[in-house]
Amino acid sequence: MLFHSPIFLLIFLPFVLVLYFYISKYSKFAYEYILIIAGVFFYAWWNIYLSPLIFVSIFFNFFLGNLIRKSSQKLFKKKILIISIFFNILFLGIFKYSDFVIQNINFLFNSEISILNLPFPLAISFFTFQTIAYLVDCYDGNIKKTNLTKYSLFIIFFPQLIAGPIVKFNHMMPQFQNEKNRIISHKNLIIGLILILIGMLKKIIFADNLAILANMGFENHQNLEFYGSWLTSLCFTFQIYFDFSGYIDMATGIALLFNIRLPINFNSPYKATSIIDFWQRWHITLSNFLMNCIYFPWIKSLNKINFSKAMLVTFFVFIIAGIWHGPSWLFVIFGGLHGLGLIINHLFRKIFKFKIDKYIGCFLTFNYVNLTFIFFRSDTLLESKNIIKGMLGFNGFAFPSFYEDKIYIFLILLISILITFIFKNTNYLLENLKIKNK
Amino acid sequence: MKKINVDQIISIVSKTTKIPKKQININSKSSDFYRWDSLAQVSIIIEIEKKTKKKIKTSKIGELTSIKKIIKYLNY
Repeated sequence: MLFHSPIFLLIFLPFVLVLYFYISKYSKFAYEYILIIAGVFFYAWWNIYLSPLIFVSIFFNFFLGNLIRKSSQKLFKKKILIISIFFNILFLGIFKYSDFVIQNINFLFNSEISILNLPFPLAISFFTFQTIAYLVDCYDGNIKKTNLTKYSLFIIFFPQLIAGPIVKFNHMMPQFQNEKNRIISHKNLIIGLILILIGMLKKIIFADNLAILANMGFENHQNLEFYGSWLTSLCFTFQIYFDFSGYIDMATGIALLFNIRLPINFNSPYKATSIIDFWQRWHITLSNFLMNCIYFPWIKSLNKINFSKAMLVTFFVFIIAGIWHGPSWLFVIFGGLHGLGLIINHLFRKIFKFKIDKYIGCFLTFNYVNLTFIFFRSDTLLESKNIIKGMLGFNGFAFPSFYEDKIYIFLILLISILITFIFKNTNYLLENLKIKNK
Repeated sequence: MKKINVDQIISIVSKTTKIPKKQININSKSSDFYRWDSLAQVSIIIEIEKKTKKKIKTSKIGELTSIKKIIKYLNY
């Protein structure tokens, strides 16, 4: 069930919303069950046979989280934390990366192990990271009170279940538990609906149309010359932005209808003036997870911190970030390029004492990000190579004929550029309209 | 436990990031200085732990990004 599908917008969402506010009038705890059942239904709609997997994850991690929380022995807590993280990564690995591992083993050792073709459970990457963040919070004593119902609600709250943002238990629970948030707020309802509408426009008008040109370009990568290559890469860079930020706007808007404020996940990332700045604006909750659960503990565990060690850790963290996006070496390259970009950025700050002009910084950063997204979108390394060659002018300068009947998409690309670089984002709308939320 | 004062924290931040002390005050936060980045953040936390003999939870490192937040965390 997609957020912009009629079944979700016209049947599922209004039904859950009415039930949530109506029943909350009469029962103090019924809201938790309504949202959990709604989440289960939403998740099972995609594939009912695979939906038990999320329950296995919920029961298993709730049990381990409790073991960690209730133990007073530090060593025992640490062991359980390591075991639980290991099993979560294994769970993710089996479903997402087993075929990738088998293919690489076959390539390296000339073996013929058959690939498993396991189905990919929806949202597994997101709820695995969210779960790990929860377990770390349990270890650090940040979670004082919880139970299976609250934990289930935290994982399965449907507005952020499928593609984030990756939320933290202590950010969500106080909002769910606040009785004031269970009374309908007309202001939040209106802003929520506006956000859903903005998100839908971003997805349907911009992302889906830009995808047409981007897909045509990537399919015809052998024939792309200078203009075609640039158009292809730019269309995809704006497609992914409008796709993801549109989704986040819809998720934020839907949560807001329930008076729940999700954390900010996008903050005009293409206005970033450096790669460091980009990762503070793009998929913010993923960056926070990587920082808090991998980078900081790793750096802190080193005997002596120095610049080189920190940069090496940064690089590996971004390799992890890359492969988290999907089981392909091209995602590893994507992550690696961002890691490299960050190292160059840190080196520049260390060596040169001046700050680069923000417009030059923005121009360089955007172009670097645009380059990395070619690897993100390509199916093969050859595709990426051909497009980059085309962008550098090695394939000539003629205009591809297959774009001729798609002139309207050029206009959409132009408007996308203007919106992205000139207009304020939806966070501004949320901040300035002062959302009612306790 | 002995309370930590603002000057002590400012000194640690200044020493670790090489930002002049006079540029840092109680309202300063990491986003005000490009030198107070993620690497500096860990160094600041380790230095504070050393000076105060108080262990800071790893999951809090990313949150303690201003002088006020550090003071609040250490003193409560």
